[in-house]
Amino acid sequence: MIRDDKAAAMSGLYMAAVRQSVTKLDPRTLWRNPVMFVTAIVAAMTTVLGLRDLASGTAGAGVALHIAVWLWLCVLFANFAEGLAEGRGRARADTLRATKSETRVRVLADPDADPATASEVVSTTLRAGQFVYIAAGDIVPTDGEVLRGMASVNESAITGESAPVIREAGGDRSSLTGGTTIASDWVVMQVTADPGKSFLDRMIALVEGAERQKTPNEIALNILLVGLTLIFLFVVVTLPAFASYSGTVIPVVTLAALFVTLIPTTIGGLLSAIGIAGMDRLVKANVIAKSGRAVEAAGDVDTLLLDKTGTITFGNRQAFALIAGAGVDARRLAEAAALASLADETPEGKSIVEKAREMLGSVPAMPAGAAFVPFTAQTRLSGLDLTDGRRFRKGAIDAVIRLTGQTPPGALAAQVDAIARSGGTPLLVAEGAQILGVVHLKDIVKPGVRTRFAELRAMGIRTVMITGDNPLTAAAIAAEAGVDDFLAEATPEMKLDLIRREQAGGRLVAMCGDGSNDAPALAQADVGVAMNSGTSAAKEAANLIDLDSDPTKLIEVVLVGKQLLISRGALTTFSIANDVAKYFAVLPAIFVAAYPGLGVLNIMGLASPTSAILSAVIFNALILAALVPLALRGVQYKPASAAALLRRNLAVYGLGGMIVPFVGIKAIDLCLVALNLT
Amino acid sequence: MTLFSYALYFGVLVGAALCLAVWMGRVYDGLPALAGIERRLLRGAGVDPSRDMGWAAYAMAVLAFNLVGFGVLYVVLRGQGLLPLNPDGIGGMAPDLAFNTTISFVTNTNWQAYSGEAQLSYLSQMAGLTVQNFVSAGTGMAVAVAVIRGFTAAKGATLGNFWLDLTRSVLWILLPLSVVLALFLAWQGVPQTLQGAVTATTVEGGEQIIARGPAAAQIAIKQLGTNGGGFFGVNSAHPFENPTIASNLAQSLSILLIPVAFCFLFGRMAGDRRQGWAIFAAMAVMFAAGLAVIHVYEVAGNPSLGIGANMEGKEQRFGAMLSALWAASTTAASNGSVNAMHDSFMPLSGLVMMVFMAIGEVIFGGVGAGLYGMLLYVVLAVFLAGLMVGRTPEYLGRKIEAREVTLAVLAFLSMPLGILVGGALAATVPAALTSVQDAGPHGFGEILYAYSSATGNNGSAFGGWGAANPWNTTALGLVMLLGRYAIIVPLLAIAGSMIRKPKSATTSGSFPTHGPLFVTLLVLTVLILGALTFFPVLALGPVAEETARMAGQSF
Amino acid sequence: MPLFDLILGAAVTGALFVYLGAALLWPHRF
Repeated sequence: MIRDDKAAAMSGLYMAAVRQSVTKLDPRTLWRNPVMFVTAIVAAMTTVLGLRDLASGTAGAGVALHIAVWLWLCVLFANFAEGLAEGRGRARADTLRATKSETRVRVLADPDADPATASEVVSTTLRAGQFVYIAAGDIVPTDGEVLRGMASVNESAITGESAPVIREAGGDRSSLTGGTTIASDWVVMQVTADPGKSFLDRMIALVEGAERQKTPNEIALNILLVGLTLIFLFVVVTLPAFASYSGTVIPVVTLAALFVTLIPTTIGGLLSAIGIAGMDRLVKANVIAKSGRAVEAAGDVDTLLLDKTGTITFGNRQAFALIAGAGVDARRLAEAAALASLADETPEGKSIVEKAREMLGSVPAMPAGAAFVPFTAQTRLSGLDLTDGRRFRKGAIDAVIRLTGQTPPGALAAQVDAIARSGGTPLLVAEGAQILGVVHLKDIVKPGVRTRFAELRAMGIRTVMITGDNPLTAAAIAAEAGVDDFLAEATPEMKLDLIRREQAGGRLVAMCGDGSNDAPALAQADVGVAMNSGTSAAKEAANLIDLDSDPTKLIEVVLVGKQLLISRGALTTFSIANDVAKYFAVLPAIFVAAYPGLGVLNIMGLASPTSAILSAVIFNALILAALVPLALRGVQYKPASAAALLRRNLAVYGLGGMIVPFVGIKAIDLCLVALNLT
Repeated sequence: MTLFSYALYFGVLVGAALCLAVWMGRVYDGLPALAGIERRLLRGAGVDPSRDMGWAAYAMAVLAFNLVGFGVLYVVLRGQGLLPLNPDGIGGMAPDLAFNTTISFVTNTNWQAYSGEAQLSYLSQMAGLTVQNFVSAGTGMAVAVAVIRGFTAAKGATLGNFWLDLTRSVLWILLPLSVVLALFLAWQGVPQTLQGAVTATTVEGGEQIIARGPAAAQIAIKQLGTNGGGFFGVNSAHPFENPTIASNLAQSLSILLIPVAFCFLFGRMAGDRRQGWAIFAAMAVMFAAGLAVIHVYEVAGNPSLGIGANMEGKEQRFGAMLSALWAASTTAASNGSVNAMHDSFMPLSGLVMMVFMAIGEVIFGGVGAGLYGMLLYVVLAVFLAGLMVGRTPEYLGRKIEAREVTLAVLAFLSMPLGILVGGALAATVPAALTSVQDAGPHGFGEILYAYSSATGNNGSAFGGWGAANPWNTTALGLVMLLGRYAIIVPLLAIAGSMIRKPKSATTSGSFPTHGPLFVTLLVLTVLILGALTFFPVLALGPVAEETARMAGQSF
Repeated sequence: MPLFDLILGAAVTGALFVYLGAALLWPHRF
C-alpha cells in the first residue's frame, strides 16, 4: 500500500516534470540559460528550413526535420532535468506549507499583561514586535522569542523529530519557530518576523527554488560556457566561407547540427538541475541554507571548528575502567561500585553499573530496604546504605578521604594521579571506612569520529576542537579523537579570535553554534551552522541552519558543498571532452565530397555523411538525457586529497568524455543503418 | 645521433635559460648597482620610477608607449626617401605597406610584407626597426613581469611601474645579450657596415648587386626578442644573415632562450619553482611532439619528388634536421625568422607550424607574451578542472571567479576572431584572393598560415603568398593589433584583479598546479580549446593537402 | 547557398552574437 503511494508520488513527479519541460520552452524563462536558449533558436531555425524543404519537396527535408526533432529533444531533456529537480523540492514545500494554517491568536498589549485582556487577531497579520500568548494545543503562529513562561514544544513539523523540546524565557532555549505546536504549558512570545519573512516562509521559498539565485561559481561557469558557445559560433559561421574556397557548399542545417553538437549542451542543460539537486540534498539532511553561496563556501572550507560536546564526545563522562587497590579483589570492587551506583540515575552512575555488569556478567539486584544517599554539592558523594549496616560510597577524592579518614595507599594514589593527568575524572569507591579502588571516568569519544577526521585531513581540512575543559583534559581528548588542534577553556571571544587568526592565514572557517554569545563567531565564520534549538540571534548570524540540531552535520554540509562543485566540474569536463569525437564524426561528413581524401578522418567508419551528422546530433541529445540521474544524484564523492580526486575525475570524466562519444556515435550510426533511417 | 643532438640542444637551452632566469629575477627586483642609472634615465624622461601602477594605469602606459612608437616609425618609413642614412636612395614606403610594417614591428610580429634590402633605408632599419625590435620585446617582457606579479605577489593593488620594467628589460637583459650575439655573428661573417650595396661582376660576366648593411646588430635582437624580422628579405636563409652552422645554432638557441627563461622566472617569482617547471614541461611536451612530426616528415621527404629528405626551399648547408628544428622553434616562439622556406615544407609540418601559432603562441611564445598567453590557458584549465576537486578553483592560492573567467574568455576570443574571421574574409573576398599563389588546399594553407602568423604575432609566412596586397596588408595589420592588445589588456586586468585577492593557504585539499597530472591537464586544455577550434580549417588546408598527396596529387 | 538560407542563417547568427555577447558581459542579469 505504502509502496503504491510512493510509486504514485514518483509518477506524479515525473508527469509534472514532463509538463514542465514543455512550459519551460517559454523564451521568457529560457533566455536565462544561454546554452539552451541558443540551442532552441537553432532548433527553431532548423525546423523552419526543414518545413520549407518539405513544402518545396526538396530532397533531404526528412533529414533536416529529423535533426530538428533531436535538437528540440535536447532542450526538452534539459528542461525535464530542471523540472524534476524542482519537483522534488516542491513536494517538500507542500508539506511545509500545510503547517502554515491561518489561525486566530491572542495578542497582548505588553508581555506582562493578563492573558484575559488579550485581543484576537488573524495569525497572518502579526508583525515583528507584537506580544502573543500561546498555550498548549496552539500552533506557534510565526517566529518569536519567549519572554515569559516555559512550555514543551513539538517541532516535528519542521524537524521531523517527535520528542518535544523545552522552550523558556532567557538563556539559549528561548526561540520559537512558526509552525511548531505547544505540547504543554504556556508562554508569552514576542514576534520576531514580519509576515512572509518567517523561517517557515524562507524555508518554503528555498526548497521550492523560488528564491534561487545563481551562485558565484555557477555564474563564472556560465560565463565560460557562453564563451565556448561564442567561439564555436565563430568556428561554424566562418566554415561556409572557408569551404567555398574549395567550392563546397555546406547546407545551413548541417552547420546548425555541427554547432549544437560542439557547444557544451550537456553541462549547459544540466547546470541548474545540479544546483537545485545540491540544495535538495541539504534539505534532505534537514539543513536549510540561507543562500546557495553558503553551500559553495562549505566546499571551500579549510578549517572546521567543532564543539567537543555532542560532536566529538557523547557529552557526558562514562566509566572507562575500575581499578582495585592493593589486596582488593577486582570483583569486590565491581560489586561495591555497582551497589554504590544502583540508585544513581545520572549518566555517570548508569555507566558505572554497566561497566560492573561487563566485568561481573551480572549486577546485584537492589537489596530490599536499602537507603539511597543522593549526591549533594556539599558531600560530593553518593551511595547506598544496606539494612545489614554495610555502607557503599563513591565520590570525589577529597570527599572520600574526608569520609573514611584514610588516604589511598601509594599504588592507588599513583593511579588516581595518572587518571587526572590523562584528562579523566577519578572517583574513589569505599565500603565503610575502607577504600576499595578507583573508578576512571572519562569523556568517551564517539565511535567513528577518528576515521572521519582522518578523512577530513585527507581532504585538506583541519579540525579544531572547541571545549570548555581545562587544557589537560582537552589535550587528552584531542589526541584520542585525532583532531588537529584544540581550543581549551574556550570563551566566545577566544572562538572569534581563533576564526580571525585562521582567516588571516588565508583559510576559510566553518563552525556551528547555538547560543547568543556564538552569534559574533557565527557571523565571522565563512560558513556558520546554527542549531535550530538555538537562539534567534544565532540563527540570524549563521548562513545555514540545522533543523536536527546535530553538530556533526557540519561535516555533512561540507561534503554536500564539495559534491555540488565536483558534479559541475565533472560534467563540464565531460561535455568539452566530447567535442573531439564530434569533430571526427561531422567534419569528414561535410568535406568528403570536396576532398575525398578527408575520408581518413572518419575513423569511426560511419556509414554515410547523413548518418554521421544524425548520429552526432542524436548522441548529443541522448547523453544529456542519460546524465540527468547523475546530475540529480551528484557525482560519487569519496573524501580524498585534491590530487587523488583530480586524478580520478580526470580519468573518468575527461578521458571517459573523450572515449564514450566515439562508442556512442558509432552505436547510434549502426542503429540508424539497421533501422534504415538515413 | 639525431636524438642526442636534439637532447644536447635542449640541455644547453635549459641550462642557459635557468641561469638567465636568475639574472632576470634580480633585474626585475631591482639591482642597487643599476638603480642610479635607471633613476637618472627615467627622471630625465619625466617619469617617477617609484610610482607603482594599477593594472589600468599599466595598460594605459603600454598602449601610450606603443602608440607613440607607431607614430614615429610610420613617419620614418613614409619619409625615409627624404631622411639621411640612405646610400641606396630608397624612396618612401606606400601607406598601406607602412601601416602594416609599423604595426608589425610595434606588436613584436615582424611580419614582412616588404623586402628589407630593397625597400628600407639604413635609417629605417636601424633607428626604426631595430629600435622597435628592442622596445616591442621589452614591452612584452614588462607586461609578462607585471602579470606574473599579479599572480604571485602578496596582496596589493599595483603591478609595478611599466617604464621601469621596460627600461630594465631593454638595458639589462636584451641589450647585453644582443651585444654578445651580434659580436658572435659578426665573427661568423654577418656584415655590420654602413656602406651601401656592392656591385660585383660574376664569373659569367653578368652584374650582380650584393646588398649589405648593419645586419649583425639587427639579427641579434631579431632572434633574442622573438621579433624575426630579417635584415634581408629571405631572412636567416640568406648567407649574410646566417652564414654558418655555428651562427645557425646560436640563432636557434637565441630564439627560445628568453621565452624559456620566463617559465623559470615565473617559478622563482611564485616562490615555488615547481610551478615554473610545470609550465615549462607543458610547453616542452607540445614542442617535442611538434618537432618530432616536422622532423619525421622533412627527413623522410616527398616520395613523389624522389628519394631522400625534403630539400625544396632548404639551404644545403643546414639540411633537413636543422631546418626542422628552426621551423619548430620559430613558430613555437613567436619569432617568425626562417632559415628555410616554410611554404615548401611537407603538409603536416605546415600543420604543426600553424597549430603552434594558432593556439596563441603559447609554446614558449614571444618574449613575455608566451608566458602570459600560457597563463590564460592555465586560468581556463584550473577553472575547468579545479571544480572537480570540490572547491572554488584556485591558482597559486587565489580564487578564479567570474571576473577572471570573463576576461580570460575575452582574451581567448581574439584568436578565433583574427584567424577565423580574418581568414574567412581573405578566402572569399576577390581583392584578397589575388595573394594566393598555389592551387587547392595548399593555397588555402597559405591564407591560414598568414592569418595565424599575424594573430599570433609570429611574422613568418608561407613565402609563395603575396603579402604586399592592400587588402591583406591592412587586414593583417588589424589582426596583429588584435592578437597583441586584445590579449595584453585583459591579462593585465586579470593580474590586477588577482593581486587584490587574499592568498589562501595550500592544503592537501588545494588543487595541485604542478606535477605530471597538471601538465597533462594543461596540454589537453591547450589542445582541446586551442587547437580543436581550428580543426575544421586545418582539415581543409594541410590535412586535405596531405591526404591528396598520399593519393598522388600535388599542388 | 540558396538566398533564403543565407538570409535566415545570417539573421540567426547576428542575433546569437548579440545575445551571447550580452550574456558574456552582463552575466549577473542572466
